[in-house]
Amino acid sequence: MDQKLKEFFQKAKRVQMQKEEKSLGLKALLSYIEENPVRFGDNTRRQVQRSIISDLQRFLQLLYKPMAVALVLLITVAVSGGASLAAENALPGDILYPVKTEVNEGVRSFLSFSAETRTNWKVEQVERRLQEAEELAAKGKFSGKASAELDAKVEQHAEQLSQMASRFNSQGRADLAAEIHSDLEATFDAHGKVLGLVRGEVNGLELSEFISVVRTRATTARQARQEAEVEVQAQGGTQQRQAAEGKMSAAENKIAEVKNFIAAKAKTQAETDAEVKLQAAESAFANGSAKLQAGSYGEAFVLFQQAMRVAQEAKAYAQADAVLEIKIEAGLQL
Amino acid sequence: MPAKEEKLFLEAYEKYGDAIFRHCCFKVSDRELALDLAQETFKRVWLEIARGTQIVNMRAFLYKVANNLAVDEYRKKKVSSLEAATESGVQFASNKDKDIGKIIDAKTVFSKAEQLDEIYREAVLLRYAEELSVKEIAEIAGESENVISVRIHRGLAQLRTILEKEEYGPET
Repeated sequence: MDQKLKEFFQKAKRVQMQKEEKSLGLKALLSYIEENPVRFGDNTRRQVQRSIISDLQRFLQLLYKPMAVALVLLITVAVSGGASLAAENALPGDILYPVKTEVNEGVRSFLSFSAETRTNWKVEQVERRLQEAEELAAKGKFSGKASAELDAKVEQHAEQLSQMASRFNSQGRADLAAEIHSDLEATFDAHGKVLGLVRGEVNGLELSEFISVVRTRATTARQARQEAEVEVQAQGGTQQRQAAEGKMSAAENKIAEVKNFIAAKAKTQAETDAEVKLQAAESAFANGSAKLQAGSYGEAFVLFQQAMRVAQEAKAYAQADAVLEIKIEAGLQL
Repeated sequence: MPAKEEKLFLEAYEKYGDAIFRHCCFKVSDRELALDLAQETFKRVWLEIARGTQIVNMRAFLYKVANNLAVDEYRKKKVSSLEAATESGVQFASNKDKDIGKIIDAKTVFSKAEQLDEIYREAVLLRYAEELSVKEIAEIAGESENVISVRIHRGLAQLRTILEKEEYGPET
């Protein structure tokens, strides 16, 4: 073949996707695979393995991005762990932020094996994004760009959680689905309020919009949680009892955890809303125990769940108190 | 190996993603649309895999799906002509592309390819740019190997004329 033709074909071959386009495409395909799992063969086994593989893929996918490669090298070669640790406090816009969300969190997702740790970790990721928003806002650095980035990530986590919830639902585990929605509701609710407080000090259109999205998400989660609770109440006696008992020990653990957290973090201030909230959680827990003994398992379930939610909110307030130094007064209604 | 399907599929994207995108570019003459089509192609193929379809030749299958999607696009009549696209010049190289050489290359390639009859264009590009076998191209196009051989032969002759014309006269 003559030279001209050869050249022509070589040039034709150079028509390619941009690196970013290709890695975006890969990302979209990974979530598409997750949404549309292989339908033949042993499904349960596949599901677990699929999640692990996709986390690994997502982690490896980073290697397509030149900046990320540099960062990964930086971690391994220069400081070996130091950067990764330092990245934990990074906020959107920081150079280490991708290390925090992709490397650190990618590793943790990869290491979350059971359905329970996976859902808890996903909720925690939502929480981390909202805390980042709070810190940025408190520093007066909450930009439209950060808002879009954080909201996209929150959306992604929430979407995955809602898929997990519907999977639980289809397996007849409405109690687990209810827990996911309840956790999300508490998270969005509490952080929506904290963000509202931060806004009191720094104004900004972006922040207001972000807050209103967070509040909408809280409402959506509340509705989904209530629907799932109706499902639980409609279940048979034994199943309902098991769900209520499981929820009771989960609520007990949660309250103890939050108590420790508040004791360790909160400063010597007057009674904060965190403590009031925690007391409310304890009383919901007590009511739940009474219902359980009376044999009203459905109601007990709902009360224990409420106790968990309120405890979760208490934790968010204590966190805001410690990190942002925002005093959340008792009984403050927002 | 668990999750073998995912692994093979993702490898296919890595290996053939650019080629499928390129193929779509030549088909629909619009970079953004080609990106969408290439992505849609991989999604459709994944659905087939997830359903348990055994795909013997992944590469040929990808092209086939891409062709079907491109035909659907034609039907929607959204496709502009290659000529209109090459006139504006930037569609085939991304705006973000800083490599001017690449943009110019893409532009020349498309202005030449545009002059080829479509059936010839597909045949010669698949044969010589993508280095597919005549048999594979026949499978993709749904024609016999003979027909494809003839198309490649005629396509090359046509392309040679187009490339020579450029030396003596102004570009069309």
